[in-house]
Amino acid sequence: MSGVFDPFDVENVRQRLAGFIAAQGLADVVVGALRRYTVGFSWVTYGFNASWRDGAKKDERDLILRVGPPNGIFAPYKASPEFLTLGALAGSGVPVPKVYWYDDSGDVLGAPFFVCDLVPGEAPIPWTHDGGPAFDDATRENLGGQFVDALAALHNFKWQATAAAGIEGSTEINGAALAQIDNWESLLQQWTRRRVPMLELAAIWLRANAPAAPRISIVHGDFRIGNFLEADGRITAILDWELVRLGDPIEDLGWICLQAWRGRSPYMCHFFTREELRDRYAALTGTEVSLDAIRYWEVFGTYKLAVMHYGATHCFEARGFNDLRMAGMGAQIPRVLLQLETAMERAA
Amino acid sequence: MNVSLERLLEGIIATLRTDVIPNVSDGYARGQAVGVIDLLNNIGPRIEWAHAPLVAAIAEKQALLRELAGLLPDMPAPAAAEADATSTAELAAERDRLDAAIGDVLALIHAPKPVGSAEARQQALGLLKQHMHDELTREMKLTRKPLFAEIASGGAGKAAR
Repeated sequence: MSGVFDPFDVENVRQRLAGFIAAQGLADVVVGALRRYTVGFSWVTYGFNASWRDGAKKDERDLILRVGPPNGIFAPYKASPEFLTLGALAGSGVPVPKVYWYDDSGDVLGAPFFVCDLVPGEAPIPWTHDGGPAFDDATRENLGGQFVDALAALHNFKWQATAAAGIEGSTEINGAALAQIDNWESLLQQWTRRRVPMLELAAIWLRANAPAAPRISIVHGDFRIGNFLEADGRITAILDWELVRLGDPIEDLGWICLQAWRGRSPYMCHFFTREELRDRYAALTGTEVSLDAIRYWEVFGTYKLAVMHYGATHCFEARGFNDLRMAGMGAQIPRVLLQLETAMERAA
Repeated sequence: MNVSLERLLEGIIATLRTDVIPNVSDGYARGQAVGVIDLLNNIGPRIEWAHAPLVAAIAEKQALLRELAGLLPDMPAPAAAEADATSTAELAAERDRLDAAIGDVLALIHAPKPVGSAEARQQALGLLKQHMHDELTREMKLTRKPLFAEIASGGAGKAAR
């Protein structure tokens, strides 16, 4: 493009997207009006209808456009890791939307983006109005089972001979945890010049106690309530793969157990106890996971979440991103740091 | 609060101007939103929220570091402040400098060749943890429960304050 991506100039985005789709060798391309979704803290998400002709075959789809804004929390973004992973997982036991096109050059919309199918469903969120349970017991059992099924399918997925082998991460079982600590510590240093004693203490503890990975898997990186769609009692898609990487799969289990995803519910992600999660996961993957390992990755996950809060603060304070949710996350940093303290005490 | 007051007000006003007001269909409601901007423009210069908490935080961190130096005599003394901090920006810089010194002590305690005796290090770590806990607990008294549920549902559902 084409200049800077402007999420509010939807007609310009629509026209440029239509041109991009036509340039993929398709004819009679029609892109309908873009509707912006309010969900998501990072990528800008639009829904739209599109039709095209590929040779003699006509197609019409309800689609999703996801754009990584230049001043968003994890900017600079790349669409390729999510696109390649979703493409590789098509047809696996992991429910994912079908992906169509992506661009990392920024030449089309002024920012990286990809296009995938609109999957029907609603995204249950971890934050309830009264802080209580998100589900009744029957729903909890039903969706919780599917939630772990999807996670186990992801971690069992043979990624080595797929395009997902090209995504970032660590393939060393003895280095996966340390690589992640380095990664998030580096991000913290980009996002704040302040040294945060609680985070420094956590990093020391995480390095001193880093476990070896039982194996290397695709790690979703944000696998939790809020990042899947549910329709008629069925999980229809796992969403928000922007933090996907290769690494220790137990990282995803620890992330599920964060205090932030359960409010006052005793259940991880409003679904199950740590023991139930461990046992269901082990039965599906054959990987015996200790509660100590889950608690280690819970400490790491809380550390990572705290660093993300500094990222949100930085993109509001220094990058001109006016989404007030980012400033709101900045206000919650003491809460997350106290959760980190608690997670370390639990893991000690 | 980890965002400066000036930038916070600027962001709130920009959000109202760009994201909210153009999408409010009722004229009275639009006018009230502009009224919020008017008030924010006038409130901004009258608010100073960081000065007193920073002075208190600096005093606590200085006391902590003195206590740690008593426990760990081999601990390098933190660099002296360049000048008496008076403005909010200078106080924030001094707070950050002391936090860096605290981080250095944490690293020394956990270093391969740590300073001090094991008992002294244990006591020092206890003091450091207590300081961090107390500071965060104090900040939590000013931190309200996030309205993420209401935000995620576009303002629908039970209103919270």
